[in-house]
Amino acid sequence: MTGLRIAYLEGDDVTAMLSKDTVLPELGRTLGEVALSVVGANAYLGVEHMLAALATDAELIITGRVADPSLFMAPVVHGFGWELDDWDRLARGTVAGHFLECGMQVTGGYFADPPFKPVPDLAYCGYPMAEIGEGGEVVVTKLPEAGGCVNARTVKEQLLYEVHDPTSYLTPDVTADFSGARIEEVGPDRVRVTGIRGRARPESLKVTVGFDGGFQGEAGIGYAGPGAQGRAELARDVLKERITNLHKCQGRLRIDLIGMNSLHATAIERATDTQDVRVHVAFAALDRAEVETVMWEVESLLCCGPAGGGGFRGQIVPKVVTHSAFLPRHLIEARTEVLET
Amino acid sequence: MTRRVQLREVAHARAGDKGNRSNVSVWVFDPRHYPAVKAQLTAERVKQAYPRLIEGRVVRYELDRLHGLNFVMEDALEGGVNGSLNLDSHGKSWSYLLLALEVEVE
Repeated sequence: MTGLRIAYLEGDDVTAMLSKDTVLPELGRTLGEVALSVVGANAYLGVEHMLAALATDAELIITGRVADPSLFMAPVVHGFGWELDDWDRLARGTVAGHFLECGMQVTGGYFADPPFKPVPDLAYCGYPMAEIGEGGEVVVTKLPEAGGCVNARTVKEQLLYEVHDPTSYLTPDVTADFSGARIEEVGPDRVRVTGIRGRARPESLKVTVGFDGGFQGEAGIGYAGPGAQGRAELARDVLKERITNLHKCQGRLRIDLIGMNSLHATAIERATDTQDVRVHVAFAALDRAEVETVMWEVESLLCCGPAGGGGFRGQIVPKVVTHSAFLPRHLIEARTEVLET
Repeated sequence: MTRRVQLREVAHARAGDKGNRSNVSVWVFDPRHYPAVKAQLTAERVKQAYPRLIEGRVVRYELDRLHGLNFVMEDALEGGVNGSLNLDSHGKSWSYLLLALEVEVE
């Protein structure tokens, strides 16, 4: 393709701006105090950083890291000419972006729970649309022929998705207050959201810092039929003994018995009469050789473990660990360039 | 006449994550049940229900107009999405830990 004009936005890569004194609030320590090597760091850019790209005649804009709702709101701000300190409007645009940013999570995805929460035609669930008025009025909807549904329940669940204090949803653009939200079904698959207010945006931008986390191996083997639970528990015990005491592996190990308890294993004890159990092993270490040892130990259960073990699968992937930091927004300079293919 | 039910029968919920912090929003189907659920599903109740999983404090935000409660649980994701060795490292299924709790409703 030729003649395509592409604007690209840089400035989110703030790796060079980190120092040993950069604070990682989640850890309560500075970068210099954590013994981890940095892979990269990216600031979440916002609407103000994207406006220059929208003002070009580019047909396509590629950004670096931007906050999810900002990606949707930037064209709205550009189109309506909203001021960047019009906090109520920006908060309303932000809630619209927040509804759209997870795609089908507001049209029936991540929602269905028969029989209490049926979703029509989930297999062909449609993407959401938001109609946004000049004053920030928001209606969430979808195409009538698409599957899924938009109703007060799907919209409520998404309103607080990944939100902590509903009075203070922080983005690079605004501090949005969702606490006074009114949610009304105004037609088939049409939900109007009003009552959103805004306050001044944060002075800092959030930065995600990625660290080299070594490698993570995951492997599984299954047991089925009479006595499956006992054989799976024996397999788990053999693995723990050999990985920890024989090989003296230093990485972090977790073994789940899928079918008995896995996702909620830390939370609850669960009794079951299942006869189909999968031993799932997760192991993370900086040293790849150690992860490979663990993978071999799981595969070896085929011949050396309890009776009837089958279906070994395993893989090793590099691991990046992330922690958040914050930088004053005035330090971050976004740059827009336009290329033509 | 009250009856004891799993929360899932009278409310729906969604889980989200940020770092090692999980939030679960809980919404009653019928506004008539909101006062009872609000009275019984306290932050302390949630914290005490899953003490090994939720290592930090639990804060509850109330959205009375929408008949919803938002629980923010700190140090509740076994290290968070990049650190946890749980297959569900986002804690997407945590919503059903709350919906499994029982409440008494009219």
